[in-house]
Amino acid sequence: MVKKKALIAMSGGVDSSVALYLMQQAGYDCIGVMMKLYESKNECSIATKTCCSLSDVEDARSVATRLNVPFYVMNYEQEFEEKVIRKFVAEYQEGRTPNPCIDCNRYMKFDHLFQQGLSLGCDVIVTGHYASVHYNERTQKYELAKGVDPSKDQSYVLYSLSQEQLAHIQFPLGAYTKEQIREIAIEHEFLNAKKPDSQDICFVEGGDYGSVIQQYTGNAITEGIFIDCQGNRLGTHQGYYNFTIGQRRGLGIAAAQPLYVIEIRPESNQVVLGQIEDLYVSEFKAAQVSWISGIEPDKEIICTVRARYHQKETPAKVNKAENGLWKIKTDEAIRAVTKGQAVVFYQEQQVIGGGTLV
Amino acid sequence: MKKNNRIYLDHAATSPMEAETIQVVMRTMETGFGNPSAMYMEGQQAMGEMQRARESIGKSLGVDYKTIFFTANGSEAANQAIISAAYSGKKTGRTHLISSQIEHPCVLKTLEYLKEEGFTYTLLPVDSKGHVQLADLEEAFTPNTCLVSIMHTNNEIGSIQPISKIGQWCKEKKVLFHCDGTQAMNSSRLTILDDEMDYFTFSAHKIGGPRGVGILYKKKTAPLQSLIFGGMQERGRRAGTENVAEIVGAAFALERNMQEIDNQIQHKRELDNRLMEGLLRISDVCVNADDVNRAPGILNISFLGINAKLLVLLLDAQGIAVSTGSACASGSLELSYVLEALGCTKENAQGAIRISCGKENTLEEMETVILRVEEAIKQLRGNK
Repeated sequence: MVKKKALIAMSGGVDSSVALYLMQQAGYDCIGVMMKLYESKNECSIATKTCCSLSDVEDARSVATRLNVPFYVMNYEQEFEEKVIRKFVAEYQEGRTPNPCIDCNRYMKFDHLFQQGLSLGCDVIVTGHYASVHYNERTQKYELAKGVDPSKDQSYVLYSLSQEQLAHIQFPLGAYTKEQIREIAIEHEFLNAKKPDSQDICFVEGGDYGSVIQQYTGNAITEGIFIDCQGNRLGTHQGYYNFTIGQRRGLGIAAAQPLYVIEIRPESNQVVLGQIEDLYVSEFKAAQVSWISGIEPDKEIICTVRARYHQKETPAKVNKAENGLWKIKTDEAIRAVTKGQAVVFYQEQQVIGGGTLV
Repeated sequence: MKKNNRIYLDHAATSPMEAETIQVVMRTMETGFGNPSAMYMEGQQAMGEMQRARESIGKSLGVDYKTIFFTANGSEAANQAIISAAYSGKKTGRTHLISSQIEHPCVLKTLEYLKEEGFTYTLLPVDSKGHVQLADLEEAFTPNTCLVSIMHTNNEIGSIQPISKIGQWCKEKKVLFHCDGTQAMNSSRLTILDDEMDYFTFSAHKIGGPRGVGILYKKKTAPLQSLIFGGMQERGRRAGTENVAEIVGAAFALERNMQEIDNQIQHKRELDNRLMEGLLRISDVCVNADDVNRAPGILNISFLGINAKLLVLLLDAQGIAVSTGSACASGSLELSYVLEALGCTKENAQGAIRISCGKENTLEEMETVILRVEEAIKQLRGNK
């Protein structure tokens, strides 16, 4: 029998490394591909110039070599800038807080790399996400489920996958805890077995969003003002795009009660500050909603929702609203619902859909 | 290299070593293991082996062995020649260098380094066939020019430069001339004419020799400074215990290369012609820098609308080794600056692969390659 072919998207981290191992164990003919997405813009002199992700490439290659799997580095820097970084910048300029990892998954891994994998004759595209895909014989639909490790579950960033994509995707890590994955890596002497998880957005160095935005827009810093809910001036700031809803740190305003960012007004460069209770809402809307089944529901959906990565799920009702939007009403108010972030709908372990908060 | 029925078509990146050359290297590792700088027998033996190798290389190139220096690779040899000429020029206030847009990174990056050191340089453009024009050289020349560095044969497209003319012109202008000959030795019958160049550099592994040996020819009057400091090896121009066994292997491979070169050229032309005939039947395809003055064994072909990396990957899975651009650039990622200099469109450059035949390839293999490329292109275009 001809072996099925799998393309594993590798990052150099322990998760995708073990994903490769698990696919190989499952009998697939594997190739590893590393997507080169971003190179640090901090140009150094020729003598000291280093490639920021060279060490990650080496980590991935080390594992692929150990498993005797062909490994390729493909350059997607241009597409990444266009589809992820530029969009990220534009969203911040609109006063929203985007999640670029979702766009990276959507446009880079599960569109670009996905298509290239299929044209290379691969049957499945594999990533090291903690989630899983199942085929439901009864409904004849693919289903997307959470990973079994609740602390690592990454189904949130995958809500936009279509049936066509799910038919060719596997997430072998969904059945494992992070601890188990590290154990497998240690057992097979992967040199990256103890590598820390990546945390930050790859193209935002040192968590400095503002400078990324300035770099891509070329706009100088323009001072704006903080106001309270009544419109009273509270102080000045270095540009509205440095803030996100719910932010408390780094405001530089002294007040009797802790102050939080509750609204961002890009048109007037104003940031509205308020009390913690002002952050809680129980009704909000989402756009660009997609459904895992590919079929839009025609009645109210009773589910649980997450309006932020790793947020606790809250029971909610989802209904279709005007202009292609969907209205979400949570049983309890939730904190810091932020425009630009994703809201994802769950039923038990299943992801049923999601959209972008507006 | 016939292992596992694979077809190796990337000789411009590196070439396989023949069994006899490997034996020469292994034998020398035994007989010449001593440190050549040592006085006793073992040292003398090693030094003797190296001396014979140096003489043999001199003979192969048609020059006095005293003009031959060994480095660790072709890049180092080119670096050393350029840096030596630059600092020598600086002593008389001449700090301008001239090269071309399609040089290998080992030349371009050295120029960038020199720029930081206060030098300036001009890169000559090339025409659509990848050739430098003498008129552009004349225009770029200034009284401050201390070196012209032009490659003999381009590693990505195979264009051959008018080296003889450039060399004579430089001589008239009393400017030092370095020729990067890394891709030249196995595709042209070439001997170094003292009249025409001051430096000529290349590496052994492109001509069936071992890795780890760069060869630098330096005209007797040309300056050469050391980049590696330490002992007095290589007449005080390169410190470090000599790589005797591989130097001997390099001399052996070069000697053999010179014996076979005419046959090699003819054989590779036949292979190239067969490939072109077969591949040009595919739709939307073109040969980049196609010209009579192109080195056999370096064929750069663009398949429009194709991502060349995917094509390389598919062919690899089918047992065929080809590359996108040069091996030095394909880990890094930008579109080929060489194709850009020719005026290729972006789409054209994205779909470009280099097929580089060697002497062990056969016409029969070319039939397989044509078939596999056709299939791969069909697959990639079908799944857009």
